[in-house]
Amino acid sequence: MTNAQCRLRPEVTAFSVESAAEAMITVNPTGHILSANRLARQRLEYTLDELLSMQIADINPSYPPELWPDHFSAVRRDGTMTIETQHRSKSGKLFDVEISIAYFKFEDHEYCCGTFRDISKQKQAEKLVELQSKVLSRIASSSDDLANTLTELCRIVEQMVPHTMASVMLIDQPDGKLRFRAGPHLTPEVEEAFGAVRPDECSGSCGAAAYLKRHVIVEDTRDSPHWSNITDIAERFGIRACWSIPILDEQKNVIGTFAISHTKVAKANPFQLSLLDTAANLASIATRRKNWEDQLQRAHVELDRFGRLSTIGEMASTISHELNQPLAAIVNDAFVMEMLAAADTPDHESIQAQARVIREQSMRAAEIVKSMRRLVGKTPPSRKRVSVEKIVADSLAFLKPDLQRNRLHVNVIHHGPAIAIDVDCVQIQQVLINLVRNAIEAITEAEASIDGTPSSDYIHITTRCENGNVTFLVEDCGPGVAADDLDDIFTPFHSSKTQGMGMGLAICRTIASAHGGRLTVQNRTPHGAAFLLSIPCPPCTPDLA
Amino acid sequence: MNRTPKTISIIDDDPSVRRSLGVLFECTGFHVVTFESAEDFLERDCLHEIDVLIVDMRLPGISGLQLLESVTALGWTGPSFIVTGNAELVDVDLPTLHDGIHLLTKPSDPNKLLDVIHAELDLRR
Repeated sequence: MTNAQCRLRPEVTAFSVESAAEAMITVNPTGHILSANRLARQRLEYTLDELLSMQIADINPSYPPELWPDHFSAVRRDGTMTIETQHRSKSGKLFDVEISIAYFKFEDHEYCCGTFRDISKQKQAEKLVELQSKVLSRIASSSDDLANTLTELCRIVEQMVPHTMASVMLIDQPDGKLRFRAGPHLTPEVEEAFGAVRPDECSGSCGAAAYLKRHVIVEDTRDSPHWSNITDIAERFGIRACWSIPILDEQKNVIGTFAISHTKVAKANPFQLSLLDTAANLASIATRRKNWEDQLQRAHVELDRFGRLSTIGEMASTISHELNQPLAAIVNDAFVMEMLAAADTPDHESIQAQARVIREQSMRAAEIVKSMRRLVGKTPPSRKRVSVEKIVADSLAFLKPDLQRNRLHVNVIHHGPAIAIDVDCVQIQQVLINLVRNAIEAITEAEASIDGTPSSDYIHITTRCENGNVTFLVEDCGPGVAADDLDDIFTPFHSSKTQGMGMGLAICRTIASAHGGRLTVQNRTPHGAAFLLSIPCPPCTPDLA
Repeated sequence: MNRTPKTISIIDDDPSVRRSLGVLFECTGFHVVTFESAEDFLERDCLHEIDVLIVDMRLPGISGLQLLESVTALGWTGPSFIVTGNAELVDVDLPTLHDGIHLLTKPSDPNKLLDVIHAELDLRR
């Protein structure tokens, strides 16, 4: 060190401390503040003179004078330490700080110097992460129902913004109105007073948020146009401020709102705004997950119905047996009736009795036919828009066990842009499932008969959109359809299989016709069958779903 | 033909079939006894009283085919009709227990049935 440097040192050091990029204060063993640099004064909003007359307890409520000696001893013992605590500024604002403390002794006097950093933002981010992880883990555990998850979300938010009430409203279909779904502090009276809220600009913050598709921060309900229609409700329940944010689904449609309300006029700070964002996101995830679950459940039910249909062979066998009972009785009774009528002196009473049992048995037969219709499917098809890819994917998902058991794989190719068609999804899937099942049987039966190893087995499904038709081509490498059978393979009760009643393809063709489409078959060279299901569709609609 | 009416036993779990076949045979000069199940029939122990056996293939409990085997074991050689309501079973091989066993599909032409019964009974006269 040069002399010049030695001479300059105290001033330079003081200047460095004063302009340091960290806030620094020095304190003596009694907790009195001895110095505070510029940044510290700024953060704490006090002048130097003010600070020099203060104790630590004045800026940090966690360290009252009686605790200070112990704390100072700990610093003395360890030399340095880092703590996380809170400081209070002159305006009363509390903020999170991380303080690095160093102990030093100078001319027999003890000091400790604290360098503190405002970590409010970091703390807030941690809080948001904590909120997310808590709520997400509840969402992930499928046992929790939606209302519970949303209530928990509100509860955590209420802890983060004390003295508030958080609530979730969701839009119900078909009326498109908002109704309360969760809110730990909601009372039946409040729920009743709001009832079903139509999204518009002046029926409260939530209605406005849903209507405007953006957050609506009402700091004072008394002078907000958004509350003009329901000022009475605001007065009655003491809702003075209400911040609401729309809950959006994946297509950015509003599915509900998340709101925080206060009994006093309140301005939202940036942290509270991001808390609203996070809460709305979580509410969206929870609601969508629930909807998916419901959809899955419905799909399951539909597939179940369909599973019953796919054993159409068994069903037809049962039905024909059932139907033959009354038919046998009718034939016998008619024979007896003829005999009675042919007698020299016909007994009218007996003839009438025979006619009656014939009528009864005929009705029984008709009932059986009716119940068969009910089983086979709803007519006409109830059409809904569904993507071609989804129809195929869902059918294959249903067939997965069959395919795995037979170690077969279905190659799927969708030509052209993704498209959606208006069809009875279950019925079209039923056709595809039947066709693929037939393909599986054709391949496995062929293998069994030639005792060969599965060489290059394949089933292809190819979809196209051309000339106003959507086509599904199902090809296999089995033995194909016998030339004699090509014409009547779709005729009911025609079966080339050792088992089965020959109803499957007949029903498939009926379904194709009900959609205004066609189901045809061709043999492939050198072998294999190719079934083509063709459904007319209006000029190809890109699949927006 | 014969002086005493021949007895036909009908074993079918469907009441409408039992009734209609019963009436048919009674109108055509037979005596008829009906049973709901093979068990009922065996319990009655009436094999020596009957001339023709008509039994449904699909019965609850002991099936029609099992019943035929049992009665054959008991020495039954009379005309026997095994009835099926299932068209796909037409090709099923009948047990070659004895010569008088026929497959009868439901529904079937009563005239043909009566012809076969009479022919069988004539053979055994």
